Amino acid sequence: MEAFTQITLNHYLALSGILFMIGMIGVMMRRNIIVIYMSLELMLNAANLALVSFSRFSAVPKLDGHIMVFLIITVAAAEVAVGLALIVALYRLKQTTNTGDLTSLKF
Amino acid sequence: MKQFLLMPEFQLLVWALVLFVFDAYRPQTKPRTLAWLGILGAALVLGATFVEPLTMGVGQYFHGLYSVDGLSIFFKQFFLVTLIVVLWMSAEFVEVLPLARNEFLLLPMLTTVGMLLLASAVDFTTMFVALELVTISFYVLVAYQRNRSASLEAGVKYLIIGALSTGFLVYGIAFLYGNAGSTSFATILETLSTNPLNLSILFAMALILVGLCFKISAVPFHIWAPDVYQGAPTPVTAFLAVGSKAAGFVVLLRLVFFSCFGNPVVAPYVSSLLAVLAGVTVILGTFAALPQRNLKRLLGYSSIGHAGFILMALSCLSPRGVNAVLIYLISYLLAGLLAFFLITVVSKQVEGEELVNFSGLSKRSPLAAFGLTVAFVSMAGIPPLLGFAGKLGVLAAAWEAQRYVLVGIGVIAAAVGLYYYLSIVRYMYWNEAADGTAAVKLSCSAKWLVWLLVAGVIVFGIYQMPIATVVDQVLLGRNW
Repeated sequence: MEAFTQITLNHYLALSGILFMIGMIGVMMRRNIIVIYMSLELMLNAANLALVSFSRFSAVPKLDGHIMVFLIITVAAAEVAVGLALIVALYRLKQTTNTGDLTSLKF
Repeated sequence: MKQFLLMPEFQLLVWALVLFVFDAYRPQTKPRTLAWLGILGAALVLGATFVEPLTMGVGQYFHGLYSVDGLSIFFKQFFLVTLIVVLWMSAEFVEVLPLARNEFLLLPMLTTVGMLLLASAVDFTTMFVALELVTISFYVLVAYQRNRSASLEAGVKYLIIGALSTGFLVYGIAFLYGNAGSTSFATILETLSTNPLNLSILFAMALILVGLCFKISAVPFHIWAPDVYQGAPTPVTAFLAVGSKAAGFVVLLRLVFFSCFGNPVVAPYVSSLLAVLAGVTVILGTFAALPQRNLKRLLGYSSIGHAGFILMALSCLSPRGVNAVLIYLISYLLAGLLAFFLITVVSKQVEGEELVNFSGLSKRSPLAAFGLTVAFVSMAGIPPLLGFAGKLGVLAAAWEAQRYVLVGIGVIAAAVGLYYYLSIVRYMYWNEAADGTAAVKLSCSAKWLVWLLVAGVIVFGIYQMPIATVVDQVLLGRNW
Protein backbone atom coordinates (compact mmCIF):
# COMPACT_ATOMS: atom_id res chain seq x y z
CA MET A 1 0.00 0.00 0.00
CA GLU A 2 2.97 2.26 0.76
CA ALA A 3 3.93 2.29 -2.93
CA PHE A 4 0.63 3.83 -3.93
CA THR A 5 0.62 6.63 -1.37
CA GLN A 6 4.18 7.75 -2.09
CA ILE A 7 4.32 10.61 -4.61
CA THR A 8 7.52 10.36 -6.64
CA LEU A 9 9.27 12.55 -9.18
CA ASN A 10 7.56 10.71 -12.02
CA HIS A 11 4.11 11.65 -10.77
CA TYR A 12 5.03 15.32 -10.87
CA LEU A 13 6.60 14.98 -14.29
CA ALA A 14 3.52 13.20 -15.61
CA LEU A 15 1.30 15.99 -14.30
CA SER A 16 3.61 18.60 -15.81
CA GLY A 17 3.56 16.74 -19.14
CA ILE A 18 -0.24 16.66 -19.10
CA LEU A 19 -0.41 20.40 -18.32
CA PHE A 20 2.03 21.13 -21.14
CA MET A 21 -0.02 19.10 -23.61
CA ILE A 22 -3.29 20.75 -22.53
CA GLY A 23 -1.64 24.14 -23.01
CA MET A 24 -0.26 23.27 -26.43
CA ILE A 25 -3.55 21.83 -27.66
CA GLY A 26 -5.32 24.92 -26.32
CA VAL A 27 -2.98 27.21 -28.29
CA MET A 28 -3.57 25.26 -31.46
CA MET A 29 -7.32 24.63 -31.20
CA ARG A 30 -8.81 27.72 -29.60
CA ARG A 31 -9.70 30.85 -31.56
CA ASN A 32 -10.04 33.40 -28.77
CA ILE A 33 -6.77 35.27 -28.16
CA ILE A 34 -7.36 35.51 -24.41
CA VAL A 35 -7.95 31.75 -24.10
CA ILE A 36 -4.84 31.16 -26.23
CA TYR A 37 -2.95 33.37 -23.83
CA MET A 38 -4.22 31.38 -20.85
CA SER A 39 -3.04 28.19 -22.54
CA LEU A 40 0.40 29.71 -23.08
CA GLU A 41 0.65 30.52 -19.38
CA LEU A 42 -0.32 26.93 -18.62
CA MET A 43 2.65 25.75 -20.69
CA LEU A 44 5.02 27.98 -18.72
CA ASN A 45 3.57 26.71 -15.45
CA ALA A 46 4.04 23.12 -16.59
CA ALA A 47 7.72 23.92 -17.03
CA ASN A 48 7.79 25.56 -13.59
CA LEU A 49 6.34 22.43 -12.00
CA ALA A 50 8.93 20.26 -13.73
CA LEU A 51 11.76 22.56 -12.60
CA VAL A 52 10.66 22.64 -8.98
CA SER A 53 10.18 18.90 -8.78
CA PHE A 54 13.56 18.20 -10.42
CA SER A 55 15.13 20.59 -7.94
CA ARG A 56 13.30 19.03 -4.96
CA PHE A 57 14.07 15.42 -5.90
CA SER A 58 17.69 15.85 -6.99
CA ALA A 59 20.24 13.65 -5.19
CA VAL A 60 22.32 16.65 -4.12
CA PRO A 61 19.98 19.35 -2.83
CA LYS A 62 20.47 22.44 -5.00
CA LEU A 63 18.25 25.44 -5.51
CA ASP A 64 19.07 26.22 -9.15
CA GLY A 65 15.65 25.02 -10.29
CA HIS A 66 13.81 27.11 -7.71
CA ILE A 67 15.73 30.22 -8.76
CA MET A 68 14.94 29.56 -12.39
CA VAL A 69 11.23 29.29 -11.48
CA PHE A 70 11.26 32.73 -9.84
CA LEU A 71 12.82 34.19 -12.97
CA ILE A 72 10.24 32.48 -15.18
CA ILE A 73 7.35 33.76 -13.05
CA THR A 74 8.73 37.31 -13.26
CA VAL A 75 9.28 37.15 -16.98
CA ALA A 76 5.80 35.63 -17.51
CA ALA A 77 4.29 38.52 -15.55
CA ALA A 78 6.08 41.03 -17.78
CA GLU A 79 4.95 39.13 -20.84
CA VAL A 80 1.32 39.17 -19.65
CA ALA A 81 1.48 42.91 -18.95
CA VAL A 82 2.61 43.63 -22.50
CA GLY A 83 0.43 40.94 -24.08
CA LEU A 84 -2.83 41.98 -22.44
CA ALA A 85 -2.15 45.63 -23.31
CA LEU A 86 -1.74 44.55 -26.91
CA ILE A 87 -4.95 42.54 -26.88
CA VAL A 88 -6.85 45.48 -25.37
CA ALA A 89 -5.45 47.80 -28.05
CA LEU A 90 -6.53 45.32 -30.69
CA TYR A 91 -10.03 45.10 -29.19
CA ARG A 92 -10.37 48.89 -29.17
CA LEU A 93 -9.46 49.08 -32.83
CA LYS A 94 -11.32 46.07 -34.23
CA GLN A 95 -13.87 45.06 -31.55
CA THR A 96 -12.72 41.45 -31.69
CA THR A 97 -10.45 39.00 -29.89
CA ASN A 98 -10.96 36.22 -32.41
CA THR A 99 -7.95 35.06 -34.42
CA GLY A 100 -10.24 34.41 -37.39
CA ASP A 101 -10.80 38.17 -37.76
CA LEU A 102 -7.10 38.98 -38.08
CA THR A 103 -7.03 39.03 -41.84
CA SER A 104 -5.41 42.30 -42.89
CA LEU A 105 -1.99 40.65 -43.44
CA LYS A 106 -2.25 38.14 -46.25
CA PHE A 107 -0.80 37.85 -49.70
CA MET B 1 31.19 46.62 -8.63
CA LYS B 2 34.04 47.55 -10.94
CA GLN B 3 32.97 44.78 -13.32
CA PHE B 4 29.43 46.12 -13.33
CA LEU B 5 30.59 49.51 -14.55
CA LEU B 6 32.70 47.92 -17.26
CA MET B 7 29.85 45.85 -18.72
CA PRO B 8 28.69 47.29 -22.08
CA GLU B 9 25.12 46.29 -21.11
CA PHE B 10 25.27 48.44 -18.02
CA GLN B 11 26.76 51.41 -19.87
CA LEU B 12 24.11 51.29 -22.58
CA LEU B 13 21.31 50.81 -20.02
CA VAL B 14 22.45 53.87 -18.06
CA TRP B 15 22.65 55.93 -21.25
CA ALA B 16 19.13 54.84 -22.29
CA LEU B 17 17.67 55.64 -18.86
CA VAL B 18 19.38 59.04 -18.83
CA LEU B 19 17.79 59.77 -22.19
CA PHE B 20 14.39 58.63 -20.88
CA VAL B 21 14.66 61.08 -17.96
CA PHE B 22 15.98 63.80 -20.27
CA ASP B 23 12.97 63.24 -22.54
CA ALA B 24 10.58 63.35 -19.56
CA TYR B 25 11.89 66.75 -18.45
CA ARG B 26 12.23 68.18 -21.95
CA PRO B 27 9.33 66.73 -23.94
CA GLN B 28 9.79 69.32 -26.67
CA THR B 29 13.14 67.77 -27.66
CA LYS B 30 13.15 66.96 -31.36
CA PRO B 31 13.19 63.19 -32.11
CA ARG B 32 16.17 63.71 -34.39
CA THR B 33 18.24 65.20 -31.55
CA LEU B 34 17.33 62.27 -29.34
CA ALA B 35 18.26 59.81 -32.09
CA TRP B 36 21.69 61.42 -32.46
CA LEU B 37 22.21 61.29 -28.69
CA GLY B 38 21.30 57.59 -28.81
CA ILE B 39 23.71 56.99 -31.69
CA LEU B 40 26.43 58.83 -29.78
CA GLY B 41 25.89 56.60 -26.75
CA ALA B 42 25.88 53.43 -28.82
CA ALA B 43 29.08 54.55 -30.58
CA LEU B 44 30.81 55.21 -27.24
CA VAL B 45 29.81 51.78 -25.94
CA LEU B 46 30.95 50.27 -29.23
CA GLY B 47 34.32 51.90 -28.71
CA ALA B 48 34.45 50.50 -25.18
CA THR B 49 33.88 46.94 -26.40
CA PHE B 50 37.14 47.12 -28.37
CA VAL B 51 39.12 47.57 -25.17
CA GLU B 52 36.92 45.18 -23.15
CA PRO B 53 39.49 42.33 -23.17
CA LEU B 54 41.93 44.76 -21.55
CA THR B 55 39.67 46.53 -19.05
CA MET B 56 37.40 43.73 -17.95
CA GLY B 57 39.54 40.80 -19.06
CA VAL B 58 38.57 37.63 -20.89
CA GLY B 59 36.94 35.15 -18.54
CA GLN B 60 33.79 34.37 -16.59
CA TYR B 61 32.15 36.70 -14.11
CA PHE B 62 29.29 36.75 -11.60
CA HIS B 63 29.67 33.10 -10.50
CA GLY B 64 29.80 31.77 -14.04
CA LEU B 65 26.73 33.60 -15.34
CA TYR B 66 28.51 36.02 -17.65
CA SER B 67 31.38 35.47 -20.00
CA VAL B 68 33.70 37.77 -21.88
CA ASP B 69 35.29 35.98 -24.84
CA GLY B 70 35.82 36.31 -28.59
CA LEU B 71 32.28 35.27 -29.43
CA SER B 72 30.63 37.68 -27.00
CA ILE B 73 32.77 40.63 -28.07
CA PHE B 74 32.16 39.98 -31.78
CA PHE B 75 28.40 39.85 -31.30
CA LYS B 76 28.32 42.86 -28.98
CA GLN B 77 29.96 44.91 -31.69
CA PHE B 78 27.55 43.42 -34.22
CA PHE B 79 24.49 44.40 -32.14
CA LEU B 80 25.79 47.91 -31.43
CA VAL B 81 26.41 48.57 -35.13
CA THR B 82 22.87 47.33 -35.82
CA LEU B 83 21.53 49.65 -33.12
CA ILE B 84 23.33 52.65 -34.62
CA VAL B 85 21.86 52.01 -38.07
CA VAL B 86 18.39 51.28 -36.65
CA LEU B 87 18.40 54.57 -34.71
CA TRP B 88 19.56 56.38 -37.85
CA MET B 89 16.67 54.75 -39.70
CA SER B 90 14.17 55.55 -36.92
CA ALA B 91 15.14 59.22 -37.08
CA GLU B 92 14.00 59.22 -40.72
CA PHE B 93 10.88 57.21 -39.93
CA VAL B 94 9.67 58.82 -36.74
CA GLU B 95 7.77 61.70 -38.42
CA VAL B 96 5.22 59.13 -39.62
CA LEU B 97 4.20 58.31 -36.05
CA PRO B 98 1.30 60.35 -34.68
CA LEU B 99 2.28 60.05 -31.01
CA ALA B 100 4.96 58.90 -28.56
CA ARG B 101 7.73 59.52 -31.04
CA ASN B 102 10.62 59.81 -28.61
CA GLU B 103 10.02 56.46 -26.93
CA PHE B 104 10.25 54.79 -30.33
CA LEU B 105 13.88 55.90 -30.42
CA LEU B 106 14.69 54.78 -26.89
CA LEU B 107 13.10 51.32 -26.86
CA PRO B 108 15.59 49.85 -29.39
CA MET B 109 18.36 50.78 -26.95
CA LEU B 110 16.75 48.70 -24.20
CA THR B 111 16.26 45.82 -26.65
CA THR B 112 19.95 46.03 -27.46
CA VAL B 113 20.80 45.77 -23.76
CA GLY B 114 19.09 42.36 -23.84
CA MET B 115 20.99 41.36 -26.98
CA LEU B 116 24.34 42.36 -25.46
CA LEU B 117 23.59 40.33 -22.34
CA LEU B 118 22.57 37.40 -24.53
CA ALA B 119 25.96 37.44 -26.26
CA SER B 120 27.63 36.91 -22.88
CA ALA B 121 25.17 34.44 -21.35
CA VAL B 122 26.80 31.15 -20.33
CA ASP B 123 24.04 29.94 -18.04
CA PHE B 124 20.45 29.11 -18.88
CA THR B 125 19.15 31.60 -16.30
CA THR B 126 21.00 34.55 -17.87
CA MET B 127 20.21 33.31 -21.34
CA PHE B 128 16.49 33.03 -20.62
CA VAL B 129 16.16 36.45 -19.00
CA ALA B 130 18.18 38.17 -21.74
CA LEU B 131 16.23 36.40 -24.48
CA GLU B 132 12.93 37.45 -22.95
CA LEU B 133 14.13 41.02 -22.54
CA VAL B 134 14.71 41.08 -26.28
CA THR B 135 11.44 39.32 -27.14
CA ILE B 136 9.18 41.36 -24.86
CA SER B 137 10.57 44.69 -26.00
CA PHE B 138 10.03 43.52 -29.57
CA TYR B 139 6.34 42.84 -28.78
CA VAL B 140 6.02 46.53 -27.96
CA LEU B 141 8.06 47.71 -30.94
CA VAL B 142 6.24 45.57 -33.51
CA ALA B 143 2.80 46.82 -32.38
CA TYR B 144 4.05 50.39 -31.97
CA GLN B 145 1.68 51.95 -34.52
CA ARG B 146 -1.37 51.05 -32.47
CA ASN B 147 -3.71 53.09 -34.66
CA ARG B 148 -2.85 50.85 -37.64
CA SER B 149 -4.55 47.48 -37.67
CA ALA B 150 -1.70 45.83 -39.63
CA SER B 151 0.83 46.77 -36.95
CA LEU B 152 -1.39 45.52 -34.09
CA GLU B 153 -2.18 42.33 -35.91
CA ALA B 154 1.51 41.72 -36.50
CA GLY B 155 2.09 42.38 -32.80
CA VAL B 156 -0.51 39.83 -31.71
CA LYS B 157 0.83 37.18 -34.07
CA TYR B 158 4.39 37.80 -32.88
CA LEU B 159 3.18 37.65 -29.29
CA ILE B 160 1.39 34.32 -29.58
CA ILE B 161 4.11 32.53 -31.52
CA GLY B 162 6.81 34.10 -29.36
CA ALA B 163 5.15 32.97 -26.15
CA LEU B 164 4.61 29.49 -27.61
CA SER B 165 8.31 29.19 -28.45
CA THR B 166 9.18 30.43 -24.95
CA GLY B 167 7.07 27.59 -23.56
CA PHE B 168 9.04 25.04 -25.59
CA LEU B 169 12.35 26.59 -24.58
CA VAL B 170 11.53 26.65 -20.88
CA TYR B 171 10.22 23.10 -20.90
CA GLY B 172 13.43 22.00 -22.60
CA ILE B 173 15.52 23.86 -20.02
CA ALA B 174 13.55 22.16 -17.22
CA PHE B 175 14.30 18.68 -18.54
CA LEU B 176 17.93 19.46 -19.26
CA TYR B 177 18.23 20.76 -15.70
CA GLY B 178 16.59 17.58 -14.45
CA ASN B 179 19.21 15.46 -16.19
CA ALA B 180 22.30 17.54 -15.56
CA GLY B 181 21.43 19.01 -12.16
CA SER B 182 22.62 22.46 -13.19
CA THR B 183 21.75 25.34 -15.46
CA SER B 184 25.34 26.29 -16.24
CA PHE B 185 26.49 25.50 -19.78
CA ALA B 186 29.90 24.29 -18.59
CA THR B 187 28.46 21.89 -15.99
CA ILE B 188 25.93 20.54 -18.46
CA LEU B 189 28.72 19.93 -20.98
CA GLU B 190 30.60 17.95 -18.32
CA THR B 191 27.59 15.90 -17.25
CA LEU B 192 26.58 15.11 -20.81
CA SER B 193 30.04 13.75 -21.61
CA THR B 194 30.26 11.51 -18.53
CA ASN B 195 26.69 10.20 -18.21
CA PRO B 196 25.06 7.82 -20.69
CA LEU B 197 22.75 9.45 -23.19
CA ASN B 198 19.04 8.96 -22.57
CA LEU B 199 15.84 9.85 -24.34
CA SER B 200 14.91 12.70 -22.03
CA ILE B 201 18.19 14.56 -22.75
CA LEU B 202 17.53 14.32 -26.48
CA PHE B 203 13.93 15.46 -25.90
CA ALA B 204 15.14 18.47 -23.90
CA MET B 205 17.73 19.40 -26.53
CA ALA B 206 15.22 19.17 -29.34
CA LEU B 207 12.78 21.41 -27.42
CA ILE B 208 15.48 24.03 -26.75
CA LEU B 209 16.73 24.10 -30.35
CA VAL B 210 13.20 24.23 -31.74
CA GLY B 211 12.32 27.02 -29.28
CA LEU B 212 15.31 29.03 -30.48
CA CYS B 213 14.15 28.65 -34.09
CA PHE B 214 11.57 31.34 -33.31
CA LYS B 215 14.22 34.02 -32.92
CA ILE B 216 16.00 33.15 -36.14
CA SER B 217 12.67 32.66 -38.00
CA ALA B 218 13.42 29.08 -39.04
CA VAL B 219 11.02 26.15 -39.44
CA PRO B 220 8.92 25.24 -37.36
CA PHE B 221 8.51 28.75 -35.86
CA HIS B 222 8.93 30.68 -39.11
CA ILE B 223 5.26 31.42 -39.67
CA TRP B 224 5.31 34.83 -37.98
CA ALA B 225 8.06 36.29 -40.18
CA PRO B 226 6.15 37.38 -43.32
CA ASP B 227 3.21 38.86 -41.40
CA VAL B 228 5.32 40.63 -38.82
CA TYR B 229 7.86 41.92 -41.34
CA GLN B 230 5.00 43.40 -43.37
CA GLY B 231 2.99 44.83 -40.47
CA ALA B 232 5.74 46.21 -38.20
CA PRO B 233 7.18 49.72 -38.60
CA THR B 234 10.06 49.42 -41.11
CA PRO B 235 12.95 50.25 -38.71
CA VAL B 236 11.60 47.56 -36.38
CA THR B 237 11.46 45.12 -39.29
CA ALA B 238 15.10 45.86 -39.97
CA PHE B 239 15.97 45.38 -36.31
CA LEU B 240 14.08 42.06 -36.28
CA ALA B 241 15.70 40.88 -39.48
CA VAL B 242 19.26 41.63 -38.44
CA GLY B 243 19.47 42.08 -34.66
CA SER B 244 16.94 39.54 -33.49
CA LYS B 245 18.14 36.92 -35.96
CA ALA B 246 21.75 37.38 -34.85
CA ALA B 247 20.59 37.18 -31.23
CA GLY B 248 19.14 33.74 -31.96
CA PHE B 249 22.33 32.68 -33.70
CA VAL B 250 24.67 33.78 -30.93
CA VAL B 251 22.78 31.53 -28.50
CA LEU B 252 22.74 28.66 -30.98
CA LEU B 253 26.46 29.10 -31.69
CA ARG B 254 27.31 29.10 -28.02
CA LEU B 255 25.12 26.08 -27.31
CA VAL B 256 26.00 23.81 -30.19
CA PHE B 257 29.59 24.79 -30.92
CA PHE B 258 31.21 26.55 -27.99
CA SER B 259 29.65 24.66 -25.11
CA CYS B 260 27.14 22.16 -23.89
CA PHE B 261 25.63 20.56 -27.01
CA GLY B 262 28.99 20.50 -28.72
CA ASN B 263 30.33 17.44 -26.95
CA PRO B 264 30.90 14.39 -29.18
CA VAL B 265 28.15 12.31 -27.51
CA VAL B 266 25.23 14.51 -28.51
CA ALA B 267 26.78 16.40 -31.45
CA PRO B 268 25.63 13.93 -34.16
CA TYR B 269 21.98 14.26 -33.04
CA VAL B 270 22.16 18.05 -32.85
CA SER B 271 23.85 18.21 -36.22
CA SER B 272 21.23 16.07 -37.98
CA LEU B 273 18.32 17.94 -36.39
CA LEU B 274 19.76 21.29 -37.48
CA ALA B 275 20.51 19.97 -40.96
CA VAL B 276 16.90 18.85 -41.47
CA LEU B 277 15.53 22.16 -40.16
CA ALA B 278 18.00 24.05 -42.40
CA GLY B 279 16.97 22.17 -45.53
CA VAL B 280 13.24 22.67 -44.95
CA THR B 281 13.74 26.34 -44.02
CA VAL B 282 15.76 27.13 -47.14
CA ILE B 283 13.23 25.47 -49.46
CA LEU B 284 10.24 27.09 -47.78
CA GLY B 285 11.74 30.57 -47.54
CA THR B 286 12.92 30.62 -51.13
CA PHE B 287 9.88 29.24 -52.90
CA ALA B 288 7.26 31.06 -50.82
CA ALA B 289 8.97 34.36 -51.70
CA LEU B 290 8.33 33.90 -55.42
CA PRO B 291 4.67 35.04 -55.66
CA GLN B 292 5.01 37.98 -53.22
CA ARG B 293 4.11 41.49 -54.35
CA ASN B 294 4.75 43.39 -51.12
CA LEU B 295 8.42 44.25 -50.73
CA LYS B 296 8.56 43.89 -46.93
CA ARG B 297 6.66 40.60 -47.06
CA LEU B 298 9.03 39.36 -49.76
CA LEU B 299 11.98 40.26 -47.57
CA GLY B 300 10.26 38.38 -44.73
CA TYR B 301 10.28 35.17 -46.76
CA SER B 302 13.78 35.85 -48.04
CA SER B 303 14.95 36.29 -44.44
CA ILE B 304 13.56 32.81 -43.68
CA GLY B 305 15.70 31.59 -46.57
CA HIS B 306 18.78 33.37 -45.18
CA ALA B 307 18.14 31.83 -41.75
CA GLY B 308 18.10 28.45 -43.47
CA PHE B 309 21.45 29.13 -45.14
CA ILE B 310 23.04 30.16 -41.85
CA LEU B 311 21.59 27.10 -40.09
CA MET B 312 23.04 24.98 -42.89
CA ALA B 313 26.52 26.24 -42.05
CA LEU B 314 25.88 25.85 -38.33
CA SER B 315 24.70 22.27 -38.72
CA CYS B 316 28.18 21.25 -39.91
CA LEU B 317 29.52 21.94 -36.39
CA SER B 318 32.96 22.62 -37.85
CA PRO B 319 35.23 25.67 -37.57
CA ARG B 320 34.68 26.30 -41.28
CA GLY B 321 30.92 26.23 -40.67
CA VAL B 322 31.12 28.76 -37.84
CA ASN B 323 33.34 30.93 -40.02
CA ALA B 324 30.63 30.86 -42.69
CA VAL B 325 27.91 31.69 -40.14
CA LEU B 326 29.75 34.82 -39.03
CA ILE B 327 30.60 36.02 -42.54
CA TYR B 328 27.02 35.41 -43.69
CA LEU B 329 25.70 37.39 -40.71
CA ILE B 330 28.02 40.32 -41.50
CA SER B 331 26.93 40.33 -45.13
CA TYR B 332 23.28 40.19 -44.08
CA LEU B 333 23.85 43.00 -41.59
CA LEU B 334 25.16 45.34 -44.30
CA ALA B 335 22.80 44.35 -47.13
CA GLY B 336 19.69 43.90 -44.97
CA LEU B 337 20.05 47.21 -43.18
CA LEU B 338 20.80 48.97 -46.47
CA ALA B 339 17.63 47.54 -48.05
CA PHE B 340 15.38 48.34 -45.09
CA PHE B 341 16.87 51.80 -44.69
CA LEU B 342 16.06 52.69 -48.29
CA ILE B 343 12.59 51.11 -48.01
CA THR B 344 11.96 53.33 -44.96
CA VAL B 345 13.04 56.48 -46.78
CA VAL B 346 11.40 55.70 -50.11
CA SER B 347 8.07 54.26 -48.93
CA LYS B 348 7.50 57.38 -46.84
CA GLN B 349 7.43 59.35 -50.09
CA VAL B 350 5.79 56.92 -52.52
CA GLU B 351 2.93 55.96 -50.16
CA GLY B 352 3.30 52.22 -50.16
CA GLU B 353 5.53 49.18 -49.85
CA GLU B 354 4.20 47.20 -52.81
CA LEU B 355 6.64 46.35 -55.59
CA VAL B 356 4.58 48.54 -57.95
CA ASN B 357 5.33 51.58 -55.79
CA PHE B 358 9.04 51.06 -56.44
CA SER B 359 8.72 50.88 -60.22
CA GLY B 360 10.68 53.51 -62.07
CA LEU B 361 12.61 54.38 -58.92
CA SER B 362 15.85 54.78 -60.89
CA LYS B 363 14.46 57.95 -62.45
CA ARG B 364 12.97 59.31 -59.25
CA SER B 365 16.04 58.72 -57.09
CA PRO B 366 19.11 57.17 -58.75
CA LEU B 367 20.94 56.79 -55.42
CA ALA B 368 18.07 54.91 -53.73
CA ALA B 369 17.67 52.60 -56.74
CA PHE B 370 21.42 51.97 -56.83
CA GLY B 371 21.57 51.27 -53.09
CA LEU B 372 18.65 48.84 -53.23
CA THR B 373 20.22 47.10 -56.22
CA VAL B 374 23.51 46.64 -54.38
CA ALA B 375 21.63 45.26 -51.36
CA PHE B 376 19.56 42.78 -53.37
CA VAL B 377 22.43 41.69 -55.59
CA SER B 378 24.48 41.02 -52.47
CA MET B 379 21.63 39.06 -50.88
CA ALA B 380 21.28 37.05 -54.08
CA GLY B 381 24.95 36.11 -53.77
CA ILE B 382 26.47 37.51 -56.94
CA PRO B 383 30.24 38.12 -56.93
CA PRO B 384 32.07 40.38 -56.13
CA LEU B 385 29.70 41.55 -53.38
CA LEU B 386 29.92 40.33 -49.80
CA GLY B 387 26.81 38.15 -50.03
CA PHE B 388 28.69 35.91 -52.46
CA ALA B 389 31.40 35.24 -49.87
CA GLY B 390 28.70 34.33 -47.36
CA LYS B 391 26.88 31.88 -49.65
CA LEU B 392 30.13 30.35 -50.89
CA GLY B 393 31.33 29.82 -47.33
CA VAL B 394 28.09 28.08 -46.39
CA LEU B 395 28.17 25.75 -49.39
CA ALA B 396 31.86 24.97 -48.86
CA ALA B 397 31.23 24.11 -45.21
CA ALA B 398 28.30 21.84 -46.14
CA TRP B 399 30.44 20.17 -48.83
CA GLU B 400 33.26 19.59 -46.37
CA ALA B 401 30.80 18.00 -43.92
CA GLN B 402 29.65 15.73 -46.77
CA ARG B 403 26.09 17.00 -46.70
CA TYR B 404 25.64 16.84 -50.46
CA VAL B 405 21.83 17.03 -50.30
CA LEU B 406 22.08 20.34 -48.44
CA VAL B 407 24.60 21.63 -50.98
CA GLY B 408 22.15 20.74 -53.77
CA ILE B 409 19.26 22.47 -52.00
CA GLY B 410 21.47 25.50 -51.37
CA VAL B 411 22.51 25.83 -55.01
CA ILE B 412 18.92 25.54 -56.27
CA ALA B 413 17.69 28.03 -53.64
CA ALA B 414 20.43 30.50 -54.59
CA ALA B 415 19.38 30.26 -58.25
CA VAL B 416 15.70 30.77 -57.42
CA GLY B 417 16.65 33.65 -55.12
CA LEU B 418 18.42 35.29 -58.03
CA TYR B 419 15.12 35.34 -59.90
CA TYR B 420 13.10 37.23 -57.30
CA TYR B 421 15.85 39.58 -56.20
CA LEU B 422 16.54 40.58 -59.76
CA SER B 423 12.83 41.00 -60.48
CA ILE B 424 12.82 43.80 -57.88
CA VAL B 425 15.75 45.38 -59.70
CA ARG B 426 13.78 45.05 -62.96
CA TYR B 427 10.85 46.92 -61.36
CA MET B 428 13.15 49.77 -60.33
CA TYR B 429 15.06 50.18 -63.59
CA TRP B 430 12.91 48.97 -66.46
CA ASN B 431 9.29 49.55 -65.42
CA GLU B 432 7.59 52.89 -65.80
CA ALA B 433 6.72 54.74 -62.58
CA ALA B 434 3.12 53.97 -61.61
CA ASP B 435 2.27 56.79 -59.24
CA GLY B 436 3.84 60.08 -60.24
CA THR B 437 7.38 60.90 -61.26
CA ALA B 438 8.21 63.37 -58.50
CA ALA B 439 11.78 63.00 -57.29
CA VAL B 440 12.27 60.98 -54.11
CA LYS B 441 14.46 63.05 -51.80
CA LEU B 442 17.08 61.68 -49.43
CA SER B 443 18.25 63.82 -46.53
CA CYS B 444 21.96 64.54 -46.17
CA SER B 445 22.46 62.08 -43.31
CA ALA B 446 20.50 59.42 -45.21
CA LYS B 447 22.86 59.79 -48.19
CA TRP B 448 25.85 59.38 -45.89
CA LEU B 449 24.51 56.17 -44.43
CA VAL B 450 23.60 54.74 -47.83
CA TRP B 451 27.11 55.41 -49.14
CA LEU B 452 28.68 53.91 -46.03
CA LEU B 453 26.68 50.69 -46.28
CA VAL B 454 27.15 50.42 -50.06
CA ALA B 455 30.88 50.88 -49.57
CA GLY B 456 30.83 48.19 -46.87
CA VAL B 457 29.10 45.66 -49.13
CA ILE B 458 31.42 46.32 -52.09
CA VAL B 459 34.75 46.86 -50.33
CA PHE B 460 34.45 43.91 -47.96
CA GLY B 461 33.23 41.80 -50.86
CA ILE B 462 36.48 42.38 -52.74
CA TYR B 463 38.92 42.83 -49.88
CA GLN B 464 38.01 40.29 -47.20
CA MET B 465 41.10 40.41 -45.01
CA PRO B 466 39.55 42.56 -42.21
CA ILE B 467 36.49 40.33 -41.90
CA ALA B 468 38.54 37.14 -41.99
CA THR B 469 40.78 38.46 -39.20
CA VAL B 470 37.81 39.40 -37.01
CA VAL B 471 36.14 36.04 -37.57
CA ASP B 472 39.32 34.10 -36.77
CA GLN B 473 39.51 35.92 -33.43
CA VAL B 474 36.11 34.48 -32.52
CA LEU B 475 37.15 30.92 -33.25
CA LEU B 476 40.21 31.25 -31.02
CA GLY B 477 37.85 31.78 -28.10
CA ARG B 478 36.43 28.26 -28.20
CA ASN B 479 36.97 27.00 -24.71
CA TRP B 480 37.44 23.27 -25.10
